[in-house]
Amino acid sequence: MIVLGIESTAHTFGVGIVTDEEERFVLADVRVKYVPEKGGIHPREASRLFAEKGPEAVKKAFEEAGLTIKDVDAVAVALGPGMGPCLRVGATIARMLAAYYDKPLVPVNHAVAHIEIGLKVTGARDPVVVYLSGGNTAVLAFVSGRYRVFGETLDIALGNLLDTFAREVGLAPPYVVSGKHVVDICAEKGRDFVDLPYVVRGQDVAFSGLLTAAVKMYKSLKGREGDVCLSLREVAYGSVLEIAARCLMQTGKREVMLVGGVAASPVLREKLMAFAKYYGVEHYVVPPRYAVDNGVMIAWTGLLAFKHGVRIPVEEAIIRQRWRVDEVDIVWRR
Amino acid sequence: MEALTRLSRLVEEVRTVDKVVKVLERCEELSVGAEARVLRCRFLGIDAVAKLRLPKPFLDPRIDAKLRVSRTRKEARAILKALELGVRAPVPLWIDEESGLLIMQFVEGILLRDYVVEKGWCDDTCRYFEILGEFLGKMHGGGLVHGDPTTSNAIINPLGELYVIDFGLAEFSNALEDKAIDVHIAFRAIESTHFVAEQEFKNCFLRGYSRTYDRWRDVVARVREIRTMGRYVERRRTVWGEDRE
Repeated sequence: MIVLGIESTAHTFGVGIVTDEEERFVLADVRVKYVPEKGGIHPREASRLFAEKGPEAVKKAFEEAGLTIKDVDAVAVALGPGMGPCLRVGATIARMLAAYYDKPLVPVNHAVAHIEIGLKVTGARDPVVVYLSGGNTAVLAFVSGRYRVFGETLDIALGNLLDTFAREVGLAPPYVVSGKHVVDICAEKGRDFVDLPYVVRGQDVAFSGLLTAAVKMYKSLKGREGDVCLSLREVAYGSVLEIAARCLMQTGKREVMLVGGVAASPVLREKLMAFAKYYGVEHYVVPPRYAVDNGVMIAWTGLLAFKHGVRIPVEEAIIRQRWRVDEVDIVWRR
Repeated sequence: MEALTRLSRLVEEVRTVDKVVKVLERCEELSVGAEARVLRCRFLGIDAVAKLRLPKPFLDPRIDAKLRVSRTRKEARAILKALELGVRAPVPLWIDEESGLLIMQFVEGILLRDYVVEKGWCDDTCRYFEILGEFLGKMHGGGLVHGDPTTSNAIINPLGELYVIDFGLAEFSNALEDKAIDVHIAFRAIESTHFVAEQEFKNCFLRGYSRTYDRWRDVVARVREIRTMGRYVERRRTVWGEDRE
């Protein structure tokens, strides 16, 4: 079976083509990335780029795979969660392909796709999932047919915290320099710990108070900028790992897996390794290539879903900006 | 008197984890939790639980030490406050903040979580959710929030009495927000673990909670707001009021 998947939830327009017939499951992986000149993602600007480059990306994916639309069994698309204008571009292209070429359309939840591609490429079987990205911070585990949310942020996401901090104090953009986040680079100069609010409430975290305090402190403590970066990062990562530990205990799972854009952080990987050793569980980290948004993960999740009968009529395939991960029945995993 | 002398001698000894384990006799590990190791021991002849917060290698040592001391201290104070407010909780017996040690009464019994999972929806399980609600209401009325009031943190003893345990994340607070988050956490535990009768269990809980805490309506309203803050909820509050995109 061959499935084409389209991702366009935020800053990346991705087209992936995958198969379950060969060991090498990725047949095509095309990505168009929107990079803001300043500030964060501007949904209108991003969607404009997607509309401009999207059709070309689809064509390029077919070329890369050496296939045509006729060879494809289904078209999968990320219908949410994400930014409305961005989602609409991917959804429009996917609906067009499905309707015009008479292909089944498969709805995919972006967060579920991050988890599924993680399982596929790391070989983890039933982990506690730590999902960290610019827009998401959640600790999930598969229980009774769904990826259930055991803990999440009550306000802003971890990636958002780091990016906004970096922007506010003038460290970014760019946010990532040679594979490292600018906050991590700044933290390398840190030696002392400054007092920042550490907020864990039950199984949830909250970062907005931390952001405000860190920005204020960075600007007032001249010469100690590195200390603020270090403390910010340690508090943020520490609190996320703490809620992950709570989920491990509550579910009794024996694995932990890190997915999402922030999984690329080398510092976080190291911490996760120490974390896994401490709790005596296996740890898995999605390689950076598949940790960030991409079309392959949508195609792969679409393939799993399609094989179990999941599809959606074109006229019902509307985008859902706030489609929660725990609303999706994971029919292919029982 | 002899016990007191022994205790005062222990003060010095109880400085390191190793030594603590020596003064505790016949220890068996009950659990390695997310936060601490929990042992059941004889402490001066008393059937006791020793909760040890050990250093975590994945945290910055300075944050780690700070959290360990403050949480151990706060936990003991919170339990005493809860007992004062009429909540059944294990009585603290000994504390050493620096080594992250808290020794308290051992509560025999089964976790409310396991009890509910086994029995499902029935009058008995409903009654226990009601009592849990009552206890949380009493705490909230007295300016105490538990921090993690899930069914994994409640024990039913052989007499059928419910105990609230693990005050490790408790806070002294009268803020509506903190109380609402407590209730939110209780609800989420119901949703993730006791989804067989989600709404029914929540109603039982609220029946107890509203009986012991007069501002319960405000709290429940705030819980609803907090839930719309979670990422990507379908209904989110905007400046125009509740809206559906």
